[in-house]
Amino acid sequence: MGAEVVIEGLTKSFGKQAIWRDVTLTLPPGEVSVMLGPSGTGKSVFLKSMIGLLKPDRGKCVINGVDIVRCSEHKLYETRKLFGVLFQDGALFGSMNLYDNVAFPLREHTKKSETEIRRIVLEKLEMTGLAGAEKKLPGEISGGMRKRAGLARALVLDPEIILVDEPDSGLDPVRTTYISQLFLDVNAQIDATFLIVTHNINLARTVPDNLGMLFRKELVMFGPREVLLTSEEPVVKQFLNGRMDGPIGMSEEKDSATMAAERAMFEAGHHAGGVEEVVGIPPQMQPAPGVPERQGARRRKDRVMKILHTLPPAAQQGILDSLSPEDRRYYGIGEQHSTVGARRGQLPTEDVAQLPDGGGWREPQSTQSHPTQRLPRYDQGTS
Amino acid sequence: MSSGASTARVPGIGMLRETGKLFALGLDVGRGIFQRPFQLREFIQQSWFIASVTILPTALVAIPFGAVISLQFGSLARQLGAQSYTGAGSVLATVQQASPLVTALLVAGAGGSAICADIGARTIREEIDAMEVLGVSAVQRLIVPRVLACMLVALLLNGMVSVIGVLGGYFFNVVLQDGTPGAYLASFSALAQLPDLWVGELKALIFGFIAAVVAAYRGLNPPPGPKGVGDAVNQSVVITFLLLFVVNFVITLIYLQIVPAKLD
Ligand SMILES: Nc1ncnc2c1ncn2[C@@H]1O[C@H](COP(=O)(O)OP(=O)(O)OP(=O)(O)O)[C@@H](O)[C@H]1O
Ligand SMILES: [Mg+2]
Repeated sequence: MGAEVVIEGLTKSFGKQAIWRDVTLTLPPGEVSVMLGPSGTGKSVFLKSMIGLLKPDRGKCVINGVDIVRCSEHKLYETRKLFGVLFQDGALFGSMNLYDNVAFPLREHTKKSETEIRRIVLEKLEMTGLAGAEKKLPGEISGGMRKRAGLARALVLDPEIILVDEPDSGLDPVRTTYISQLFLDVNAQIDATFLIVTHNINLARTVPDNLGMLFRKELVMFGPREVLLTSEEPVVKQFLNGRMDGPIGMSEEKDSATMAAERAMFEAGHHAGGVEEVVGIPPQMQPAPGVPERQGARRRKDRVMKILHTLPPAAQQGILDSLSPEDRRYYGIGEQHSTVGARRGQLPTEDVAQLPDGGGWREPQSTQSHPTQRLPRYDQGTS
Repeated sequence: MSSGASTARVPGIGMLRETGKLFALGLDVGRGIFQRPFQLREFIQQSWFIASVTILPTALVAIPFGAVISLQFGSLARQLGAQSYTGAGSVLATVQQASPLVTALLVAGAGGSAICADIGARTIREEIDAMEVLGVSAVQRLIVPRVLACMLVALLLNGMVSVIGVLGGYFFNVVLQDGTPGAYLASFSALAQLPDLWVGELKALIFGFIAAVVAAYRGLNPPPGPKGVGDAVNQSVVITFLLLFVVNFVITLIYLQIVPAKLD
């Protein structure tokens, strides 16, 4: 199972320029999370801070009990082995061909024989649709291929946490969907924790379990996807719709005067961009047929049902609507409420065993603070 | 990676910070030299590469350099009536001063700039980050072999420049200034001594180290933007030159203090 990442009060600035302050969130193990945010809000900086490439000013980032921000160099290198990171352009080693690139982590960190390495490398290349390209140099392939090769290299050590910076940049919409599908399949296969940073609204609406957004040097919200997708927060609505009308400006945040002036302009009939109002919660993409079920999704369902009462009403409704009839029965919701006890026998026994407090989703150590710590953000978001 | 400029309120503090980081990298490299596994392949490749870009220009520079020194010294010596020391003088000047500096300038100019451009390109392509994230230290893996390669090549080039310089000096002195071969050779041992050669080689080693560390430092921390790497290469060469002349001055001073001159 993937590792849990607990981030508390993380703050980063370059000199006097503050990038973001007090970012607090928890990436639940094995779930797919997406971080949205306008360009330049420090999403890449956030990813780099999580793996200790940049040093945050304050705060904690704890993985398996190790605080990345403050641990020794030795611990840092050890902990990094849990990560697979896909950089914006793949970050392949330009002097090695794809095969050697993907084999690099294995040769560095394992004592595997070359035949075994060959087997693993070819398997990962096959998985990312690069079979036959292993002799090519990174300079000789397209951006999309570089990205997939980067993913193959990130996957080779079976990471517990996978960080992805803008999987869609430079890809057409179809390839973006394919790579999203690949993320979900990988997640289903190795149950790794995913954090994907992106501007892509389609991806954000259909792929993740959890959605967050950085804006104005803060984490605006982070939580189950339904919360952000049903949010009435102006920033979120503007971002999801890609319109000019709202608090996000071209270079930075708008001040109220600019916003009022623009408002008048849009009311006078100027097109604010965007096509149709993006509303509602589209169904989530699923792993391809033949790939095992996502354990993360199952744990998430339990987790979200537990904190359901703390979520805004629209999000609650969205979550309830997404439940299948079996789920409803299982969680004791709706018309079938009275029959729950009677129908339980139909569920696989291990599920039943998991539900109360069992081995599946485990609340983080700070049990009480977990739901409440997020709650104020939603209140802000919807008020 | 933050550049000092944004926080420089006290004048000079940015420079101090950069200097500190440069030293820190130097120390890291020093530590990395003793960490296993040693990157032998990278070391050999880099040595070969640096040697291949520096040997020809060094040889071409060394001949006129030796000639200039020996001509200058020859005419000076003749005016003072000390023709018999021409050979010794130019050998001393070549072995102790000229050849380490020529070597260093070429190692910095040709080798260092290549290292800086290579590392800089890797930095902006995020290769360095990717390597760090894969749990591999970029200093140990990439920088240490380059620094050692630079030192080795500097050492070898220094020997080569000394030989070429002395031969060039001999040729010009004997052929153009009507010096006698016998006197030229005989005076070798009058003034020059073995420590002169050692200090030349030591200087070459230190210069090679400095050139490579500065190049690597600028390559790892290029100014932001697409022009960054170009600027970094440029700066690395200039910074190296400045450092080399200062360090050369210091070493020469110390050497002249602690090793007694042969004649008196
Ligand atoms: N090494 C650095 N030194 C100084 N400032 C930096 C550095 N790296 C990033 N920044 C600043 O941090 C801010 C956020 O940059 P970042 O690359 O994280 O944005 P982003 O959210 O990833 O944007 P995009 O979506 O365009 O990739 C920018 O204003 C940038 O100028
Ligand atoms: Mg970015």
